[in-house]
Amino acid sequence: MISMILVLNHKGDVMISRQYRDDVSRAAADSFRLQVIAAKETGTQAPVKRIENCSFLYTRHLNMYFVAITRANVNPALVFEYLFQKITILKAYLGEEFDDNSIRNNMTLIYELMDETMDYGYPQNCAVDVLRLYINLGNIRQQDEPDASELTSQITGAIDWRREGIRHKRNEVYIDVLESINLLMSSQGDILRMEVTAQVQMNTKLTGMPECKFGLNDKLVIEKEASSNRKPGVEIDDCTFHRCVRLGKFDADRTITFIPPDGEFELMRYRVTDNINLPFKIIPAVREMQDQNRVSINLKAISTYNTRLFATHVVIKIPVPKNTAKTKIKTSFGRAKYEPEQSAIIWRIKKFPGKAECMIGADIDLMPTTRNKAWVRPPINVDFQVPMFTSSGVNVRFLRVYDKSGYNTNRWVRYITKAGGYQIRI
Amino acid sequence: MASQAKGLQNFISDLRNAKSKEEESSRVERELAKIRRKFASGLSSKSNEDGSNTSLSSYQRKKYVWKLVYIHVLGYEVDFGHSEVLTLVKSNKFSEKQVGYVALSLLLRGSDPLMNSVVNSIRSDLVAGGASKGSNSVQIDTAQSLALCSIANISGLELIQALHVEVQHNLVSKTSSPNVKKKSALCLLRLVRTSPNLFAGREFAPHIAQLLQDRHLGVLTSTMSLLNGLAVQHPTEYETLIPYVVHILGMLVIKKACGKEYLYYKTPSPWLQIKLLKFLQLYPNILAEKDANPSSKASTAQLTQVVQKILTETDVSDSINKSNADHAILFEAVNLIVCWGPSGPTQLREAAMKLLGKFISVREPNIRYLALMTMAKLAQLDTGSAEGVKKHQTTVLVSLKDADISVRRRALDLLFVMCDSDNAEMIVDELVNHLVLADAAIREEMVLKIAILAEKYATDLRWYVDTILKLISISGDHVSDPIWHRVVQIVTNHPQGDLQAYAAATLLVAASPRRCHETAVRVAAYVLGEFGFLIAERPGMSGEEQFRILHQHWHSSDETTRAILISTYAKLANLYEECRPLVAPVFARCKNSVDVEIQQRSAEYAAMREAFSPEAVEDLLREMPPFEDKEQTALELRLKDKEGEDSATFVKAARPSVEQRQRAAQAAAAAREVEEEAQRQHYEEEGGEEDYDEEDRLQDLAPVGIPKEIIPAMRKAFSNLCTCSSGVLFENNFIQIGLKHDYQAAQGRITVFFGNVTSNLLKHVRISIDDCDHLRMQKQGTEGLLDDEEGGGCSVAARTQAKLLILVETLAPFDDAPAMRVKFETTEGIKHEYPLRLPIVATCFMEPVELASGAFMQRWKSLEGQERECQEIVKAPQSAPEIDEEYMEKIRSIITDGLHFGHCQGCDPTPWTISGAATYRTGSKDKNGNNINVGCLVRVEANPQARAFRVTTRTLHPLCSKAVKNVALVSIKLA
Repeated sequence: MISMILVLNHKGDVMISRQYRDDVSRAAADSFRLQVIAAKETGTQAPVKRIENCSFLYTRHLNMYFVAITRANVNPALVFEYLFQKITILKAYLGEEFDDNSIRNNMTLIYELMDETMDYGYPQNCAVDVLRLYINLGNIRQQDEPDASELTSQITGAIDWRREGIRHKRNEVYIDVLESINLLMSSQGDILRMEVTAQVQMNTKLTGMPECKFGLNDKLVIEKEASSNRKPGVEIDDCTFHRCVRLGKFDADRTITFIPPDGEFELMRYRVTDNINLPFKIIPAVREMQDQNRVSINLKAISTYNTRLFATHVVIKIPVPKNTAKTKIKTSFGRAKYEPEQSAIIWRIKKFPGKAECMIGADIDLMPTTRNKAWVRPPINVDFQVPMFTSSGVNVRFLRVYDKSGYNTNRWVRYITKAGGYQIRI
Repeated sequence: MASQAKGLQNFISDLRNAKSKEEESSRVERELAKIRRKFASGLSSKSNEDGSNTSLSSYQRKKYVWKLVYIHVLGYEVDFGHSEVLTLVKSNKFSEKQVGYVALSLLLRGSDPLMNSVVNSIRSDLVAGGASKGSNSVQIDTAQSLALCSIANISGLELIQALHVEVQHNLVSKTSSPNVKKKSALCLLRLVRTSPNLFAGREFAPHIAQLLQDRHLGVLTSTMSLLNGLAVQHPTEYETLIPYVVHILGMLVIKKACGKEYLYYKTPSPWLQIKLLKFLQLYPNILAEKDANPSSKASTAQLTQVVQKILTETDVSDSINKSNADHAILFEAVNLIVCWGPSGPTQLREAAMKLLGKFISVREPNIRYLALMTMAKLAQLDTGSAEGVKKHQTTVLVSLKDADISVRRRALDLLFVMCDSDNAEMIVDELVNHLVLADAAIREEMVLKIAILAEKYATDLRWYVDTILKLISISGDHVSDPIWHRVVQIVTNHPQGDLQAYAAATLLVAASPRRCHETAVRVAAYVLGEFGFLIAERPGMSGEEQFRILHQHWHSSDETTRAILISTYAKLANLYEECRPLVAPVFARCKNSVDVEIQQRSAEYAAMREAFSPEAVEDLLREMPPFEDKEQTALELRLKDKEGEDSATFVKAARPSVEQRQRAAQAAAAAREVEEEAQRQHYEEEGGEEDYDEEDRLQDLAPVGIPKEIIPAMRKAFSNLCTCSSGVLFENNFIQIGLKHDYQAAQGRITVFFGNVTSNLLKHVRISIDDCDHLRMQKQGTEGLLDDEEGGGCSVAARTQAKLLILVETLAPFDDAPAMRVKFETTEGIKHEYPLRLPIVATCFMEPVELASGAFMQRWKSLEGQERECQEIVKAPQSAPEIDEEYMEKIRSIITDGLHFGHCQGCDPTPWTISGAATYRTGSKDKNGNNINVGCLVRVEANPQARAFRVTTRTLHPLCSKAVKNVALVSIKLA
């Protein structure tokens, strides 16, 4: 299990160090500083480093390193999840952009959080709104503090993610369906890999202890209901849920019922591999000239989604040879530029309308090299966001909220499709 | 110039300030892209024929190329810009040329296809000196030097082929300045190293001779570097240059003729001196050549004079720099003396030895280190220098405790080298003592060297075994497998003397403590398995004990050791029946072991008894044959691995010592003896039966012996007969030997019957009985039965008997049985020869004595202690019933009837003890004319729970005790 958690600044100075077990010494911070930070290793190497039988698992927030040190053979996913949670908690307490100064100014608070979220190297309760109940130093507003016995039963009870007696003037639920689409296409246009991974984010502002029921157009559920006038459902390959969801019920009849935590949380994740609508079609044409000193690239991007929609932040990264000397680029839309750091032409389009076609043409002059090496032709990368579009076809059918008081709830649903790894080989 | 290149400085400081690797590499990529753009900007319109961009200013071009060089040095790939580099190289300005050549030597590799275009511009710079003499000669010099430097740095094969002639020309040309000559010499050295055989040495040697006459010391130093490089490859071709070298050395050392700028703390150019001495070391035989012409004689005379002078005139100075330089020269001179070896003048060697002796006690560790190393080399020479080294033995031993580990290593090496038969024991003991204190880094080396020395110089191999055991106990972790394997090999290969028994006993003692090193257990296990039987008779070392001692380590040992232990157990179980029940459960447990080796061994050993005949099992578990003596032992190979083939220590280790040769000679002599013996027999037999054909003769050499499978039965029959008056001694398909014997006091009458059980005639039946001191024998038998010669003997017809009557009288106590050899021949002509033993043992001559309990106890006490007592524990046989009163009665009858002891009633408080007394009668007379008798007491105590008996005998005579005990044991075992 985790023996020590360190927070270091970008120079490697220790800002926070909390030891949970005595099998590592404080000198460990030095070896991490020397071998990882001073070696400028971060960013290029795996975030797990083994030095003298100690494993250092680390992540960065701005210019701070959050390092977990252990001697045991731990589950790295668990450790990283803990580190991420830790950062989330600190963000909630210190603000989104907390930095070394805010860490230094809230030393006591952070140590208190360290103590509360981990015992003897085992992660404990990391839910922010529960922690808020009894750790209220710093910027956190003094809420109506519950008395000790309530607090204990809350933390140890069956529903430790929600406390009782929450009141909201307006009862609202926001649902975000975030899909990210992964694609790998060969230079001939064959699809080698295609899948959608998605998460359903919720933000609840509900009074009391409401029971919620949530429904997607899951194929299995729809077939069960067997009403002929509906569109066929989506086949969801696998899904995971937030721990508030009653898994027994889901296994029995695939209904998603839960008592939600207050505020933001991730309700579920799912994956879809069949019947995916690609938002963009990319058709590249790359020609290397005979004398090997020129390359010409022509590329067409076609959007396939509805004309009412539009994609934002479309970035198409077209790789060019390393020894590119000069580029001549013509685009029909957006802006394109050669960026030597990435050795690629980056084509940016702020707003890409539906059912549209965009073109780019580039003539590239190469520098003659000492040793002739063939160009490796890395794939084209595409990045985009399409709001109100799900490439898997999933949509939220309903969300019902039952509470004793029977209040009305406002529900808001948003969809976004993003590019994950959207690559086309050339 | 660099101060002007602001862009370059900015770029470098940007990179220095980069916080992460990504930031740095993105900055580099951006810069590279910019340079590419700049280089290419005029590419299409205004480019030269070689592709470089004319629109760039000289400043810009230099700046960008410097940047490329810097990026390359940081480790990024730079593979463009060569045309700009070439432009710079071709420029006339020094600043541009310099950048060009630096970039050229860094960015290009010898194998690049671009080299062709580079070669021409380099060549033009090289030959410029010859082409145009005049005002700008300084500039030409620098151009040449730059060109030479980059040739040396790139040194591609193609480049060498194309340019080496020019380089040589520059070197020998009269017009070249000293600077250029220096650089060309070094450049040429580099070229020769990458491609040897570039030019013929014979043709080149005169050029070098000419260079060696140069007055410029710098040129000389560089030339000597080149010469050393060349001469290492082909020493013979440069032998003619020795007089020149000696001459220069003489100038420097004797005349001290040296320019001021080459004086280093008043020492004339130490570097040149060292190079000269190094060169001379390549020719170890120059002093030995007798037929030398006068000129070379003069030069050798001068050389010895020079060396003499170096040795005598170097004084220790306070300045560190001065003393370093002087010592360096001194050590090279000593190395030269070492090189000459015995051919060199003795007084030089002695002087060198004296100096080294002084140096090894100096405070400065570097000098001590060098002195120890050189001394090791000197000691390696076969001549009397080893004696000189020995004088410093104590100092060297002190160095072994030096604070610096590398000095300790050298001291160890030196000790190893100077060790010989005289001081071996002392050095090895000293090393072993030191091993306790030595730190881990050097231990392994020490252990290895001690092991080799102990083996090489052991006059007594027991000492060797002891030493290795000590090594194991002190530092077992560093005793590698080859070392203990070697112990086993040596013990196995030297059956002479009592080495094997000694080793077995010592190892048994070494393995008896609860905690002992794993390696010790391994050696003990192996040696006891092989030679444990040699000590099984000794008290506390019976087979059972051996097993117990080894088995206590079972739980703490690893898989390899367990595998060895299992084999040992199998051998023990084969030899000692009492071990079998102990071993069986171990095998049973190991049959399921995770380790395949252990599993296989135990399963096979366990199944062996059922699967094969007893004879085959015996065969399988017999001692291992002697090991082959390899050319290089495993230990030496290890040493070679660690130190390289030419180290002094390895040379030493590979040379067999006097002791080793002696031992080898002994072993060879023993082998020869055996062979000769066999041959003599062969001739004798041939002499007797000359008309034997070849086939028969072969059979002749090896008469049929006792078949293995009947040996156990024979043993049993023998034991039975010891306590019975008649029975069968031996039986097989041909012959049955029966025996009847009765005794009266010191005399006995034995009748032996030889019955022919075949249906054919048995020819040439002959009996020979060895005479022994303690028995007087009279033999009388069927005619011819006792014939000595080969052809004689009687014939025994089918189903008939021959008879032999023996009258014996015992003269002294004894503990063995007389040997009898039975020889006969079947009708088919197959010879048989059976070595047997007659069951005439000490107990046969016992006369029972009735003693009252009080008298028995009194005598029992008076005989206590020392050798007069013998004691051993024996298990009741597996098949025997419970030990009860009835069983004890049986034991009592063995004691009384079988062993002829009188049962002493009343001194046995419980039914579980039996006491007996007897007198051993002999036929010898004491000075009063009375027969000598020996009183014997025996006591058998039973432990019914453990199913074991303890037999204790006490007699006046040690042999008597032993004999009685042995017979009692065997009888009880068979009861």
